[in-house]
Amino acid sequence: MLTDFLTELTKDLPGKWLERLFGPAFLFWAGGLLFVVGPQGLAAWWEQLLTLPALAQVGWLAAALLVLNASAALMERLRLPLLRLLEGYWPWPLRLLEAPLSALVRRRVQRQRERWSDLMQQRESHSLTPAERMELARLEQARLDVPPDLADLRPTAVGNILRGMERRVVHRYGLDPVLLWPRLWLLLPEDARQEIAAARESLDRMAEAWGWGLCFLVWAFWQPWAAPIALVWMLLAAWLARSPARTFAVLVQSAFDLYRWRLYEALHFPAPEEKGDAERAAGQSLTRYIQRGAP
Amino acid sequence: MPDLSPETIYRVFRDLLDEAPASLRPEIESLLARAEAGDKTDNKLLRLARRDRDFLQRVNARLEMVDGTRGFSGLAGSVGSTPGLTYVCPQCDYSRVLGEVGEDPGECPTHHVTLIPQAQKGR
Repeated sequence: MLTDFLTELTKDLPGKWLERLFGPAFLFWAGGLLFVVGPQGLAAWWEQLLTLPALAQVGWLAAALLVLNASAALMERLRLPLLRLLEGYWPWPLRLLEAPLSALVRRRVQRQRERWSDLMQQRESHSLTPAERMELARLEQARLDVPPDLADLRPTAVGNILRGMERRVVHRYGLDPVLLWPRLWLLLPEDARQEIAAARESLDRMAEAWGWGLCFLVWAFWQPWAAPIALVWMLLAAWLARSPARTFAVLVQSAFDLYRWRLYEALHFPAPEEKGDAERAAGQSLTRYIQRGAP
Repeated sequence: MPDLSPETIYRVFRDLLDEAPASLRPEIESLLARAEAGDKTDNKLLRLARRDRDFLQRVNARLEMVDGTRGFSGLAGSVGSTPGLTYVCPQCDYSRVLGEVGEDPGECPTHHVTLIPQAQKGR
């Protein structure tokens, strides 16, 4: 009976439903059940379920699927706040950790930048060894993952990748990307929007997976082993989130690099004719107009 | 796995409507209109696309583009290093290379003065 029911139920399930059923939400609830009821209790519970009348079996399974799907849908709604947590924008009392963690990141980045500067100067006087060239390439790549100004550092890797992109647009063009993104989005070509939306979707999914890891901590009230599992889950999700964060960041920055002129045109602002300080001043004026209503 | 939600399928068919074979276009338009009215016509649209092999390939390619795991991905190579921005101490030969605009140049460890762009020294 149960097999027939499941076969019939899953026959035409769209991808999104299947993802919800067997995604992190399933791991959260299955893991929680294991911790709360225990493996033996779960087996006994399953045996008991099979002895129930068919209608009751279907009712229990439908209720379980409903909980699974509803919780997955709720988590989808929480993607933005979860992403902000992953970026290191924490509420009190976690906010107290921001400064010491950012200081740790700052020390590492400072060391990397000093070494990068040394290698760049060495490169001008004599050629670098293959190992030094590799090191220079690695440091050059690492630069992209942090904001130019160390005062803007965030305590997390994802936070630094996204903050780096935001601050680069400010430093180079004088435009505030957070404020202007909705306007630029409306001016982007459809293909560009699709690429960026797909990148954002990947990032949001990782933020959601991280959020499920955070929720998994709840099971630690029943079984302390749930806490280390939740922490490993969160660390893994945060580590995996760096790649989609980089893709999203590079695409948004590229959108500003390539299409920022459309903002000037659409808002009837004179486009800056020179790069550098002149463009930054024009960008600040446009940003101020959007934020304050006056150029 | 491509995103096969009905909304995505409707969007892809709307985008590709002009490229659809003339024989299929009226039916696609009709199914899209029914979708807008609230009917679920995504599977019918996909079945319809199977009638023309080339069009089906275009639909599949577009559906995969919508998928989060396809589309843009960065190149796997290492990024090169163009010359950086050299900042110097106005009072000695100390210099430091900055990676990009927006970085704090810092100060000379000997004279404790802010470093200036190399081009400004000696003006």
